Amino acid sequence: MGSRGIFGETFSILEKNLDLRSLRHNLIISNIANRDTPHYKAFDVAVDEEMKKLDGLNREVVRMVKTRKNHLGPPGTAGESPEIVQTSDFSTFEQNADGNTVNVEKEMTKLAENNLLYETMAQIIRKKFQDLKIAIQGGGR
Amino acid sequence: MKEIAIQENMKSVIAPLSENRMNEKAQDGSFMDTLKDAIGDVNRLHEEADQAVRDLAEGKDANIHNTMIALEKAEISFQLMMQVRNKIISAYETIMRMNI
Amino acid sequence: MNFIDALQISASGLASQRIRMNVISSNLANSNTTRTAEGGPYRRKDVVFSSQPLGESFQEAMVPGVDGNLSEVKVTRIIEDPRPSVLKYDPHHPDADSNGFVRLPNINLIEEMVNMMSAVRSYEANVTAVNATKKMALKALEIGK
Repeated sequence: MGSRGIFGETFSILEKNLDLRSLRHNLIISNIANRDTPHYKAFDVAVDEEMKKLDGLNREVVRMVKTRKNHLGPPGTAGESPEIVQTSDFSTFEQNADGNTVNVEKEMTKLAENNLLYETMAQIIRKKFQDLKIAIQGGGR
Repeated sequence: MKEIAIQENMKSVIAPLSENRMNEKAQDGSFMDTLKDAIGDVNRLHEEADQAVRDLAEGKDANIHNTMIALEKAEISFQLMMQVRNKIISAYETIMRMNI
Repeated sequence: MNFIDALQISASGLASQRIRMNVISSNLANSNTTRTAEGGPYRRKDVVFSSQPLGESFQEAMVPGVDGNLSEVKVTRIIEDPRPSVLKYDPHHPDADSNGFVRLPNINLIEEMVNMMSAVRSYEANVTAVNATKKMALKALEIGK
């Protein structure tokens, strides 16, 4: 029985979103730090695409976070990791002569956007936990 | 008749929060099974929370939000279980008083 | 994939850009140095950045490909500019050679200023990154409140 009881699938979705945004954050950080490194290719992960992959799968516990060693994930999710792609959506003449593909303005924008969405999701989860606590403590009167 | 009273009591606690299992079980009348499942859930969530905290403390690749979420889930499920236990006890006491 | 990694990567960026700034400052300060301890004029220096993957073998074994994309940056070498020195005709200069030419460092001030601005921008970008990481971590900590 994989049921989570009072924690519905919204929690799983929120958790997965937080995991993905956390990963995306680190990729952006890496891009920014390496903006002057020759031949460095910028990476990114498409959070919305990865979230869509949830549909049709067992929606509970679709965590792409590395599980502990020897811990089997739920069926259908073993070995699934998010797709990390090289960003290539700029015209070639923006590429630096040394092969570096980091567009710093774009990275900073992505950083701000991803940051905001992460904080939003965290806030939502926090609110849901608060609501649950209120329901539990106040429901007994 | 006493079973029905207890069931009503339990439902009033569980109904606002329930997703699936708990509602069905309460209607079946096997609320002790519900409690056992709840205890099992609490145990599992506490272990997961423990593991998450250990991962964070050891510096193994753990995100802060994972740890916080695991801790919150453990705490909430524990609170729920305590409320259920309190309800059962107060319902039992109500019944015991009625016997006179 | 956690905040510690993010901070470490940004820290490496800050450190590398700072080294780059030091090298540029050295170039600017020595743009007219005709005499060095090694003999000859000051030679322009430059930094070589290289990215180094983050992640120990344990993590890479667990989910290959995820952490392998994160890299910090390090200054692996400080090289001397191979371009030849500039010759200037100044027979009265104490370091003039037999033909009256003085060899000056091959430092172009415009080039150094542009590099310096780039280094400053990169440094600021990494500072912004650190602040963003901190904000996210603090927000995550609030989940339990």
